[in-house]
Amino acid sequence: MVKPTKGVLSIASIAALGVLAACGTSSSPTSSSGGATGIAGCHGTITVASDLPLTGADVTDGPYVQMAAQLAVTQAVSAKLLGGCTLKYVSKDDSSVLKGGHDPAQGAANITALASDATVMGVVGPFNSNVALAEIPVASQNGLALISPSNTNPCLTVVVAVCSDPTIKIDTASLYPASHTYFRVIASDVQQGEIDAYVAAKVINATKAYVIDDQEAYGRGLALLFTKAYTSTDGGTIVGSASLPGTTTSFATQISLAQSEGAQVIFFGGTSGNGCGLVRRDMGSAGFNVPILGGDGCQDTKFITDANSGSKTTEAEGGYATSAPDVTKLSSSAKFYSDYAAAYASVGGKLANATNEPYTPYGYDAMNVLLQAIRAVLVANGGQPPSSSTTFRADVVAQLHNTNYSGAVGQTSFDANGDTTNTGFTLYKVESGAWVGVNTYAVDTSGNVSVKS
Amino acid sequence: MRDKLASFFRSDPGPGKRADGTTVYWIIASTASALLLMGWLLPWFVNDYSAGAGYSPQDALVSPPTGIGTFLIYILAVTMLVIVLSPLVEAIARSRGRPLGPRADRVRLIAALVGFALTVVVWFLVSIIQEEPLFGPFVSGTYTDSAVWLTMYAYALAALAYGARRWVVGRQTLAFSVAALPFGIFLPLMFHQAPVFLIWAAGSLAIYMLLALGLNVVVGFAGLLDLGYAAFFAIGAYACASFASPVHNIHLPLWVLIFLGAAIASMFGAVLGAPTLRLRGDYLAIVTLGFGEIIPDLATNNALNLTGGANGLSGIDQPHLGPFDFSLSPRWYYWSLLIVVIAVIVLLRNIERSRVGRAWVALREDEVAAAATGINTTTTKLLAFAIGASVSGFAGAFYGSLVTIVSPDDFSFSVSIAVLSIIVLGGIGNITGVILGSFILTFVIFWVLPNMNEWSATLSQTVHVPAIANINLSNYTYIIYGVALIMMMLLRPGGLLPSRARRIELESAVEGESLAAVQGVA
Amino acid sequence: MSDQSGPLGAPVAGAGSTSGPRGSAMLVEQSGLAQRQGQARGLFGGIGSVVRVTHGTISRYFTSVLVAMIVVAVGLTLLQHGFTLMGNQVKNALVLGAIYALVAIGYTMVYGIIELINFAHGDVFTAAGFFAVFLSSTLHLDSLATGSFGGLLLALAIVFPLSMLAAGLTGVLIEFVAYRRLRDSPRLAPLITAIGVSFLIEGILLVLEGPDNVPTSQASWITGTAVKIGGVNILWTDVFVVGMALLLMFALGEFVRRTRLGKAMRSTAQDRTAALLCGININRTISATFFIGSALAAAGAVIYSINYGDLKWNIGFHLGIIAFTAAVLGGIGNIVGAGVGGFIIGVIYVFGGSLFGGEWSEALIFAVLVLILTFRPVGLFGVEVTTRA
Repeated sequence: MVKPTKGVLSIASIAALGVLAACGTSSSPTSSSGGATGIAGCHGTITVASDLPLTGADVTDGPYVQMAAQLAVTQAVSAKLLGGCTLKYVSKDDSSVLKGGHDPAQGAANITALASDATVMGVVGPFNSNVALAEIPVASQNGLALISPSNTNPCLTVVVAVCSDPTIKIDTASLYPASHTYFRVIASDVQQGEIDAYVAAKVINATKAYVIDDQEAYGRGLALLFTKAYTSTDGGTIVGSASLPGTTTSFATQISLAQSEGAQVIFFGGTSGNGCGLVRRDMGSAGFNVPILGGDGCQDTKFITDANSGSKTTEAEGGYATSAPDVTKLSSSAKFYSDYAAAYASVGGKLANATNEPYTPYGYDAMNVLLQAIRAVLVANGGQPPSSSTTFRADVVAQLHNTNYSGAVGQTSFDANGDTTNTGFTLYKVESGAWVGVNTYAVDTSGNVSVKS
Repeated sequence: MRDKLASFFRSDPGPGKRADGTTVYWIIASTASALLLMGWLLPWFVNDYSAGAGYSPQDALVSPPTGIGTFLIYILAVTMLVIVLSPLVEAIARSRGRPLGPRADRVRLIAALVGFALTVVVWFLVSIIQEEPLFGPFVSGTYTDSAVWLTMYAYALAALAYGARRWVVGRQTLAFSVAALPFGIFLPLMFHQAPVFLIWAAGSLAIYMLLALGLNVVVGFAGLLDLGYAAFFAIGAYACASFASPVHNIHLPLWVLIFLGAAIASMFGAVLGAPTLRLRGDYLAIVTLGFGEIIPDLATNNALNLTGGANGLSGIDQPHLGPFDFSLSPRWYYWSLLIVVIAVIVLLRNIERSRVGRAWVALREDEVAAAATGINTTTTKLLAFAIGASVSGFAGAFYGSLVTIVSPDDFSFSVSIAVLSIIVLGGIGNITGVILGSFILTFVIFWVLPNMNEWSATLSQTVHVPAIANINLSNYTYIIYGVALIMMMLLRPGGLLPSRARRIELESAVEGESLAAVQGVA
Repeated sequence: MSDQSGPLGAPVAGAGSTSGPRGSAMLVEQSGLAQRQGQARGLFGGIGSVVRVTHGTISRYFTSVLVAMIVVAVGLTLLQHGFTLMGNQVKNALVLGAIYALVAIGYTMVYGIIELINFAHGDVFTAAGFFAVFLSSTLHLDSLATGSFGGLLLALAIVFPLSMLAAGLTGVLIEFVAYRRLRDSPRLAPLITAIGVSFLIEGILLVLEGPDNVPTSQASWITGTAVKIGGVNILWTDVFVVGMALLLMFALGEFVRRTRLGKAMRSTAQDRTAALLCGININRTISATFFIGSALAAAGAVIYSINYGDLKWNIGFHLGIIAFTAAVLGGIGNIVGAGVGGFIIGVIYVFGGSLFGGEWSEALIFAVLVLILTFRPVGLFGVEVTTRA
């Protein structure tokens, strides 16, 4: 409140100072005390935002996550999580009509706009790894916390071998010109690649794999991580690979090649929207009956619909994919799913059911983690927002590092790089037209994959 | 002397002369009133964006300005409205057959000058006595400040319009520039940090305006239809990304980069233009479409290991120029792009009127005749491609350093199409039209379409109709964009401001006479 | 700009109207571009002549070079991977090519008549596909088609004409609303409206059908293997796709050659004013062209959905651009050329992807496009005739 530039201190300012001091003495700074008594006198507006792709080709993913994030805010408002402070929520769309979906330039512009709003204390997003590449530097410059519900490209936070691959080429250090403000509530692909390779070699028992990727940051990265682990750790052979754009409508050429090379499994690095299910469909048309294995991008209903759309209507059967542990099965998520269904019953259609999109609970948790961090800052500051937004943002980031939040997807805390410690991937298999969990795997520090109980 | 002065201020230029400056008045007057309206409404619209870093969230809660300083400003602004509306009085008076004499102009000039002086006084007052309860939150970059600036500017504009009517009427473009430039330059200063429109202006408007100006050289001046212009944009951006990022560990400053980007792009422009020299019209369009698809494909496939594949190149440097850190505010991008855009406009206007420009016109109208008059069609065409591409190289370099990541799908066919739509909408071959077109289309694409949902949510909260929020407007972006393109073209097929040559063509077009229609395909 | 003269120069007298063997199914005869000698002299000097000679040689033998490259590609696949893969890839290429061919024909007809790159054509394809799906589900055709062979024929006999009719009418409507008024406007205006229409159709499909692949259930109509040659399974769908495409193209060729309307189209394409003087109703002829072109796109869409079993709101645009390349390859305005061009593009796409990696398929197609326009702008089937420039 006290502005050094001001010659005269107004009466209002002095009064506010008094209130602030009063709060400081009367509240206990611990958050565990529950009720909002300590921060009930909180004064001001605090804005949280989400930046997700909501239009064009991304309309199947983004809106669920956005609605989940909004649900978290609505619940926080009604529970007076931030006490007397007004909690505002802004939703930004990072897709553009020119790209027909997510657009890094639009994302960067959104974060710039949000960062220049002094009340914005954190953003949930982005959804796509290439948007993250444009947004992380802006957020870093402005000290603004950015919590992604779904970015799995490892190079966003840590330097691993694939980052210097000529087709990935991400210089992690350059993404953070200032402070490290980026977090993610989902595990990165390094472990997923290793687990996928293990599954291909030891569960599917394939020694020859054909790898297809969708050219995008996520898919290409996962394909490379798989290739590396499969050939070095698990002794398999890659008989061929192809990198095809998301606009591809027929994979017949690659299926024929894989067939002729005697591949025993096809690995698809990419999302269902970019052809995971279509690959399976074309395998059916070509009569090529080997398993298909994919990452978390494949583990959704789109895969099953697409795979079964060809002449063989049960082609999806036996398709494998690894994904983050099935949140729908966790007891911790039950409340989230019912809350979501209740909140959005009026929306109707597919959007009203959060289970249609695996990242939905991650969006919810990301927002809750952010809100808890803001609350912790308020509590630690005597129930009031810190005097400047710069300090406030820095405090929120510091509190995020201390996160230990038990949410819909389980226990979330962050390591020094901002990566979640809640790791482990479940192998799923399509049985009777639905994904069924087989086993959950974890990787230890020396790269050994084992079944996690 | 008296006569001279009288003639200088005379409203009626005499029989047979059309231009009496009323139109100019109206343009300037409506600009001024729009600015004022903006100044008044600002507090309610940009509530969140006026305070910047260093202010506590409590400040944002402070209600719109209610202090005496603000009150004074409002009075001055209302007085301004009287001057602004005086052309209406003038029009009414003229329709009654009793036009206002030069006295009226003098009165208005004096009123404007007095208003300006008063505003300055109030500005000083407000700056000295900064007590919040009296004057509202007056800190550089807040509402009161913006309102003061806008009012001052509007009075100055009115003084210019009424004081130098003759001069204004005679030099409309120059007068417009004189009026618009200070506004453009001081705009970012009125806000403490970065309001949404500044991000839009620097990130979308300026980039696309540069692209449109460049494409206008190729399509508008030289008449070579280019459907793959985004390719050159991509080349400029990738050049910037390669020379100012950790990719090759080269870190050149932006000022070198924009020229490097332009040079590389213009080289590619000439190289890619060479095979098309024999082609005309649509065949040329198709080849350029092919190039427009091949370049992003090459980038995606990481040709020559230069482009980083589908992820593109990331971590591009944001420039520092002495104490100015570009990464902290889009302001610096805004100003440097303003300089570049103005320089490009001036340059292109001169080229248009030069020997080369005339050669382009000749080429566009009739290639054979042009060749017959001794124009080297090869050089002339290649020059058009090179100059057009170099401008997009500028845009590419700025885009790269602004977004810090360039990837192949930033340069897809739809970008080429958007740029083409801008120049067709604005008026092919007319620089003013192209500028207007880029304002309109980038506003629709980069501001209206991405923000529609937010607006409808706000509207539904304001008017308490929850049903409005449930209409998911984002679903309709494609429909809205498509319909907008169709309607714009159906209503103004020649563009909003057709170039003079085009206007004559349009007026003289006979049924079945225009285009290639006469000759069919063959 | 090209407003003042036809991009391809003046018409060739009598071409197209004579029913010679080559001009039979052509909307227009290609006249090619004038060779302007001395053009490069200023810039290239002595190298100029070398360039010209090389250019001339490649131009002359371009078709042979292209065919030779395709043969080499097929041969390489055979040598490297054996007969099975080659057979499979040839099959893939033909199936893909058949769909490109049907879309390319619509492009070529519209371009031939009003010189408009109808970017909305690909989206009419998608819309028609979705309409066919709607028909099948409303009329419960799935059970009919999968029941017996007769039922299948009946279902096809219902779906094809109806969806072709609907798409045809859509095409006519689009022409009426978005292009007709702009016929005498600057050349670029209809191009922009075409793109506007394309966005509009995609937007409507996005709202109606959602952003995902929509399974069409028509893939179940035709199943089973027709014949097995070596290790190559040729499915009935493959036979159906290629056969149907050839049948439709043949029918269209006959239509354009034999009927009054076909003649009207050819003459309108050649010289609109002269056609008008001959008493041809230009507006009706152009509408008819849009009708037929869009109807063929609809047929392509039905075939697509029977073969692949799904549709997506935005597949048409990209497919359309590739099909457009096919139209240019065959010589734009030339119906047979567009058909053959479609198949050649299919071959380049599949074998390019097979030999160099799938990521190069599209770059290769567009490279061929640039090459053909550089060396043989009239397309593979056009005749290079020097006329006034």
